[in-house]
Amino acid sequence: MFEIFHYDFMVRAFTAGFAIAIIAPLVGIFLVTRRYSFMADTLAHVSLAGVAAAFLLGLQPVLTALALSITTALTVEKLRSSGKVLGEAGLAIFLSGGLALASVLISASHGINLNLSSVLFGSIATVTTTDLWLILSLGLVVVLTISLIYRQLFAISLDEELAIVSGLPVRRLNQILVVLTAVIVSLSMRIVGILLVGALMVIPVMAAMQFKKSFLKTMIISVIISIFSVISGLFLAYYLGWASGGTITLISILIFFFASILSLRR
Amino acid sequence: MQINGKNIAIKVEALSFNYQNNVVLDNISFEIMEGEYVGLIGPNGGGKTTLLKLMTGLTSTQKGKILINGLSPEKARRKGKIGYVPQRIVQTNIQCPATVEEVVTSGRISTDLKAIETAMLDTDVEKFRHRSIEDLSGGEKQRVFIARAMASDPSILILDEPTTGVDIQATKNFYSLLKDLNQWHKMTIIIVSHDIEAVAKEVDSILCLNKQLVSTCKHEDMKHNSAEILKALYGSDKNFIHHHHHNV
Repeated sequence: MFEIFHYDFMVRAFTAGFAIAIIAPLVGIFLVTRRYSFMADTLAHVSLAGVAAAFLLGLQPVLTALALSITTALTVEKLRSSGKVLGEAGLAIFLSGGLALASVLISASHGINLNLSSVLFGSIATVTTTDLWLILSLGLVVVLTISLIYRQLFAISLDEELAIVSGLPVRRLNQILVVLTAVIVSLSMRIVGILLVGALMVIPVMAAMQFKKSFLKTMIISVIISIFSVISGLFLAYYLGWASGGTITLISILIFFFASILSLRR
Repeated sequence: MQINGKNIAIKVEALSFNYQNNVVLDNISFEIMEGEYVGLIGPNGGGKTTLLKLMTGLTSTQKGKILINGLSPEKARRKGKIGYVPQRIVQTNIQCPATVEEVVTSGRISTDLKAIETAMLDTDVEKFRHRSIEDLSGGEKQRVFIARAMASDPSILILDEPTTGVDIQATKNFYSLLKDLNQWHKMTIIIVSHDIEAVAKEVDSILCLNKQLVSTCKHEDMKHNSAEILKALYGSDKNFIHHHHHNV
């Protein structure tokens, strides 16, 4: 069964997948509780434009996607906090805008070999050594940041207005949260693909929330669910030749259903 | 700042506020002393919520000023001086998984386990510290959020319509908790309410707000003048009772 680890690209895929499985729900839980889940999908579509631009201009795709999605994340957050554009409506503009820009860039770059389906749905064979180092180092930054400001982020998840009155720098915390989201989206697109990045940040968290535990336990359970989905998904994807992102997402949705049924029966 | 040897907890001076060309607050001035227990009453649209938002620093002042322990509301809240319990906390379903202990701890920026324990013991929520807030009744949830507000050792506690959606027994417990906090911890408390009768029994003084400060009075005067205050605030007693009921 473990002969797949004889291939370097599989070792890279599993290492990267494991790292992403840990960080995605770690940030995702704050998006879900703040009803901001759509943010991940929006940034994913913008990342697609980043990848297309990188192919057209010959830049590093993950870094280009990262730069574009961080810029977008901060712009969206600024618009949201100023109350000028409604939260979801604002996100919709950026989501369609990102996809539109990506499609124009891809069509303009005909002849350039961009494997669209692997970017959209994830492909385990495409994780390069550079990608892996990016994922591991930025992943570590994400984990450290979350552990440093965990309490503050929990406070704004519970109630933003109360957090403001308690003297927390809510605007700054929101900015950090959206930047972390942008980082995870850009890092995970190789494994789960752009269309399904949001799923990995949101579904394991929703499954874990069914157990009605403390915030900390919910976070830990969601990481376990996420790791299980990613690892089992990668195995299935390899042996059955399925797209890794789709397989991982379907497994996490199955877990969500089982968790909901369990919580209903209690 | 001192008057008769007592410190001023809150000083509001010539405060006016307009919203979209409508006058919400019109030249309001008052002082609340440390350890005072104050009821803020008035009709909907009379500016109670706006005054709260200005005092908690959620809204910036336009004209006039507010000082909390001599500090602007923004500075006071950064020092954890303001404990705030909003109305909607009891009514809305909180979408965030959390235990009672986690909610109370989130009220304090720096972890101080002793202060958090004390807040839980004082409000009598310690016994269900590991329960999920989703499973609590309205009255229990309210106590938890008072504990959360107390966790930062605030110098003032502000509560907005705290008894809406809470049953009679829980309301009774709630008022006795506030009385304890006020008497034993010398906590300055401002409670916003429609329920003048319930509040009048509890507080030291009442601020009646309808865009302007209609009256400020001490407890003793209230018993004699409550009919007049109501008239000044709402037009007539009947109107007030009506008003009260559609909020239940």
